[in-house]
Amino acid sequence: MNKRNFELLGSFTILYIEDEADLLKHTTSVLEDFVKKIYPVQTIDEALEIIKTEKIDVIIADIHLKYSNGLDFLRSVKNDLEIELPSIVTTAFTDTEYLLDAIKLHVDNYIIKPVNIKELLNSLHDVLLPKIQAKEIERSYNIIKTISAVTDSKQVEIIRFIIKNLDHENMLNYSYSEIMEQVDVSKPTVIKLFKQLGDQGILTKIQNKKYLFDETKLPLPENA
Amino acid sequence: MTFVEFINQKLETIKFSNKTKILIFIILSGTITIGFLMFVSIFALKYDYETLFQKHTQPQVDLEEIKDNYRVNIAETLRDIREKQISNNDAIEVIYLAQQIIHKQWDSYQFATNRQIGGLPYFASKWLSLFLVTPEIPEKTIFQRGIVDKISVKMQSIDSKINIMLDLLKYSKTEQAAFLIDDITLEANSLNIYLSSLITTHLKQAITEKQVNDSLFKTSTVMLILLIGMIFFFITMVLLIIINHFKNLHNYLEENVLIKTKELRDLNDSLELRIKREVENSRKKDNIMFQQARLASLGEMLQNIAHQWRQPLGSLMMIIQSFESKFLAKKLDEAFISSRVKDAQLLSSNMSDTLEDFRTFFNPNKSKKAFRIKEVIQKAVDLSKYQLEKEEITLALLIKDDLEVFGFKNELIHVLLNLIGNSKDILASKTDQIHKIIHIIAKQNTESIFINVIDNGGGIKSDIIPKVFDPYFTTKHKSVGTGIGLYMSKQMVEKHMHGKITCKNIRHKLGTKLFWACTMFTIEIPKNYINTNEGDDDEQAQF
Repeated sequence: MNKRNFELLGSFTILYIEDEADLLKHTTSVLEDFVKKIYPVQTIDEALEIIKTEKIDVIIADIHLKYSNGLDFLRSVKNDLEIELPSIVTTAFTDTEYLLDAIKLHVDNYIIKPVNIKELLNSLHDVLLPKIQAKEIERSYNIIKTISAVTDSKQVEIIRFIIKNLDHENMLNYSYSEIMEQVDVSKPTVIKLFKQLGDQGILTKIQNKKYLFDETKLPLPENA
Repeated sequence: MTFVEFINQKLETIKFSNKTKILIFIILSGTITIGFLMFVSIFALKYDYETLFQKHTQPQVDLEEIKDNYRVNIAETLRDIREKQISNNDAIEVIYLAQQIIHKQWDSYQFATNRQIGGLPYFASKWLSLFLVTPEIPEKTIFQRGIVDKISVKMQSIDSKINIMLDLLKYSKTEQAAFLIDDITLEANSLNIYLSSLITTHLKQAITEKQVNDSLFKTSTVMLILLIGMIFFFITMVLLIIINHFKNLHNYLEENVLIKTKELRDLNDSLELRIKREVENSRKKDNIMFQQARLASLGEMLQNIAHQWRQPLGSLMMIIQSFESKFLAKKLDEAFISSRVKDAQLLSSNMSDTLEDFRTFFNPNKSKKAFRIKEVIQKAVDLSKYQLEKEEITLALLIKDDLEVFGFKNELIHVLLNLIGNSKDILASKTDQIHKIIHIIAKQNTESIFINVIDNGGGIKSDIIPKVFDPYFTTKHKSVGTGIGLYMSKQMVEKHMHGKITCKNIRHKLGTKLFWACTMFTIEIPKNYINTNEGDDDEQAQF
């Protein structure tokens, strides 16, 4: 994951709280090239307003704000509004006091000013990666469901059973009759599928009731 | 003089009070001795007089009367009897009477001569006679005693003869009586002769005793004179010695005083030198102290610069990075570049200004200038802004009129920074106090301009208030406070602004609803001095 794909950020909305107008302006102008939408605000009140009305994916907050504290804002979002959002804090201080507070609030990253834009983007990526992956999984799941809708659903069910029952060494320890019992399919369907998979080297018979599942032999999806 | 020296030596060892005691003792004992001797002499003289009177004058009278009786009463009566000019009875009666008188007188004589004179005069005389070198006089000579015995015998024979004669007369045997009368007359005459010689012996004795008396008087006079002279001599001697001793003592003391005075003068001279040196030292110390304080505030200022630079530096870095990111995003156009360059220029010129502010603050030009109070206070606030924000302290300026003053601008900033710094320190320690407020109020009356710095840090303990402006006085921890800030502020305000700086505890709302325990520092700058250029510019260099 050394080389991050910042294009993934393009679908996210950021709330950026920074009381220094200059820094806010310039950072926003850099960040807006990478993300879907950025809401730059200078005060906590504005930030609260936006978080109530807009869908936000990640919060970037400066700890030291005029007459208030970015960590206080994150706390009120978490405790009062009960919204769990990934967050990154920036600060000129390296005080452990703030660090401890930040850890307690499960802040995802802690960036020391002056802000290095690459560092900020990297941490944004890291913070948002679980969201990206969740989206990816959802999409794959939808693909499978769509495939099963248009092909033999029994075969899909057998494949699901196989993958589900693989042990830690990617071994399947079932006989045909056991699979037939559990999935409720006819024997010819099972034999046909095992033959197909065996031909492509995906599922190889080691001995009786023992098959090896080799995921490297799977065909790569075109859009990955 | 060796004796005197010896005495002197002895006296040296005796305490002064003891010396006076000795003198008083000598005077008193002398006086008492003289008095005693005088009394003794008087009593002895009285004794002599008494003796003279009682033993010689009184007996003479008695003897003379006895003589008269014999001659007049007895002899005359006997003659009358013989010549028959008187009756027998009358004669008997007269003679009885005469006999009785004679006996009485004789007894009185015996009593007077034999009676001892006792009492004090006797003792005085006895005691004094111990010192007298006069020949002892027998009190009663044998001769005198012999005469007395003879007179007694004679008187008895006369009495018996008279008695016989009287008996004869009673029985009117006149011839026999006449014979006896002649005999009695003869005897009476011889008795009278005895009596006369006794009187003479008494007179002679009185004369002798007078001589004794004279010698007694002489002796006692001589003794008194001697005694008085001796006492006088002793007193004079002792006085001389004491005076001499006093002189010595006085000389010794004078010498001592001279030595001590010299020592004192020397000490005084060296003290003057030392004071000069100490003053120099303390001035040096003060200078070092001011340097320290300057360095301390320099450190604080550096922190301020660092903070004031951090913000634009962050922005600048972001601008630089934005060029890269815009270039990569293929969005790097002319409009973007020009706007970012403009921003960067603005930011860097701000940074430069900040630096210039601090530079001029620490390298002040040493001339007086007209400046605005508001500007100065604002600058002081700006310079300490970072720390106030860090401690979440609200600072409010309440300046009614913007006043223009003439003087050292940076000094006032320095003083204000000190006061704000103090307020900040105390407020920073009040971690559980939500409202941390500092108010700076500037106002004026016809004579002076007042700048109040008020904080709600709870005030200063009343026992500390008088000491807050003392050098090296601090309540803060050693690593934080040098104890110089307020002292230096006071020096600046008093010496260079001719003003006053005071401090007191007040209760003030400070724009909130509650009353806070506040500390208020007041800088008072008189307007009169503002426009006069006092020649203290050189002193300015110290700070």
